[in-house]
Amino acid sequence: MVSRQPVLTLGKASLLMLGIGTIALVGLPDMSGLNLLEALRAQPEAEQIPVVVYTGKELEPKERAQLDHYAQSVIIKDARSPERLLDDTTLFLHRVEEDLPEAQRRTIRMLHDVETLFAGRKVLLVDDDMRNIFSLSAVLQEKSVEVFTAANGREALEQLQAEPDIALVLMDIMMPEMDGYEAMRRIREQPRFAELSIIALTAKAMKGDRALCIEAGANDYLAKPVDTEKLLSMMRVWLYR
Amino acid sequence: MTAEAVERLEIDLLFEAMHRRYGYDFRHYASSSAARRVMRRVAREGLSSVSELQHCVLHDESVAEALLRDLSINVTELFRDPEFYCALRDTVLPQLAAHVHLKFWHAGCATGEEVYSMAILLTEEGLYERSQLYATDFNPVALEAANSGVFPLARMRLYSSNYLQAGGKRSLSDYYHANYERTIMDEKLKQSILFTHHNLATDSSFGEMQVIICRNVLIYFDRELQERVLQLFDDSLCDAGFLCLGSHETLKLSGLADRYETVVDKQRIYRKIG
Repeated sequence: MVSRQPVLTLGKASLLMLGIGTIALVGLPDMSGLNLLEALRAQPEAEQIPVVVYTGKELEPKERAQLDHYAQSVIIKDARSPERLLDDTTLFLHRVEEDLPEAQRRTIRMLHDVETLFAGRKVLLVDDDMRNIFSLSAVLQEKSVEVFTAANGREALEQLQAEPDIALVLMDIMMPEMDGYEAMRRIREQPRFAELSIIALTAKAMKGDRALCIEAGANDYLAKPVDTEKLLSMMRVWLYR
Repeated sequence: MTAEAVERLEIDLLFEAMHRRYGYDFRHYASSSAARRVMRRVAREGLSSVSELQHCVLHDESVAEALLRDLSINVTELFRDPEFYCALRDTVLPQLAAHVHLKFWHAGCATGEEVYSMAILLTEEGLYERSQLYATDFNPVALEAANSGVFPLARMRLYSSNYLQAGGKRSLSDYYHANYERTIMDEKLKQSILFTHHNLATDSSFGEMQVIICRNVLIYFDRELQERVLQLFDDSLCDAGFLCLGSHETLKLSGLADRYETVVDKQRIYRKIG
């Protein structure tokens, strides 16, 4: 979403440019935070950058007053503070973003992006039944999806390791060697796959079985035999994020 | 042809232009409310006819953008119509408690207030952990706003009052963080919400839900589109699933009416039986 490049190096700190504004985390070994802020403000390119101060230190009124002079917001570290910091930063950037004139023009153009949801996306089909693989592949390739396949859970894991950009997995449940439940559990064990969308395709129709899919790590499930239209609709939903 | 008929023709052509140029389909919107909004835009742009507006829409993105905003206005609040949420709490949710996994679909979620309200309600009733909420809309910018969970601080007093009237067990402020004149909803509320694009006029069912909420969206559609949407909902609802419409909407005139029984008439909550 944003490119990270060092902008300024002051003491041992590098300030990263995060896009619209720079958020400086203050609290450094070789230079006091206040000195850093003063130095920051002295740089012409950094003069206008909003600063949110995040500190573990209890601040005396005089220090607080000085910081307020340089910073837009001061947050004291506590148990809830990582979420607070993220929320606060989001709110701040939101305010900045809304003032941009370009923001007004986006609606009209954004619809086009929605229509290209499938093209070029990588999807992994996991099923031991080759007929299912063939028919689903055909449907997806027609939408310009790049299809990867695996015949069981173990192969699925291997594919995910080999292909970093897989956006969505269609996971059959009943497979030899490693079933869908086990495969999904193993996938979710890895933090980098936390956001990966997985749709379980299950021939089992009992309500409890569907809940098992979710528990194992599926985002959603669809009953077999698969209704292609429904599958595509569901995929659109989960590919949109 | 009367002057009125010509104006209706111009509006049809405007929507055709909008659809072909930008992909936004308002061709089946209920004519009177759509016409009012179109005429307001004509006046605001200082034009003298809908045909002139069509010209501007085709050649000037910012006018198209403005018209899109006019047509997308959806009045929404956190816990809007508190009695609806009371009815959910008292009548619907207890019947869902037996399910191991619940799916809710907020169709036409706009900027998301309704789905965040549901997330709060489910949290307080202990059902959030086993729920997946889908929040869909045809407008990508509204979706983006909904996904951000950021709302104006000035509205929070009204929303807090709504929340309490809806039977809220805590304080609305427990669910948001405020700063810079805005509030942002707690990250925990967003975990089981999927904001995603879906066009009720053209897209298909994407799953089977226990509850579908579509309030004050159908009133903007003509009868043909309303029937299409209700059929889509019927295809997307499990047996004994609940359909919730807006207080000025009804299932009664639909061809599907006999597949549903009324659970709470005043709040337009129906359950699928057929």
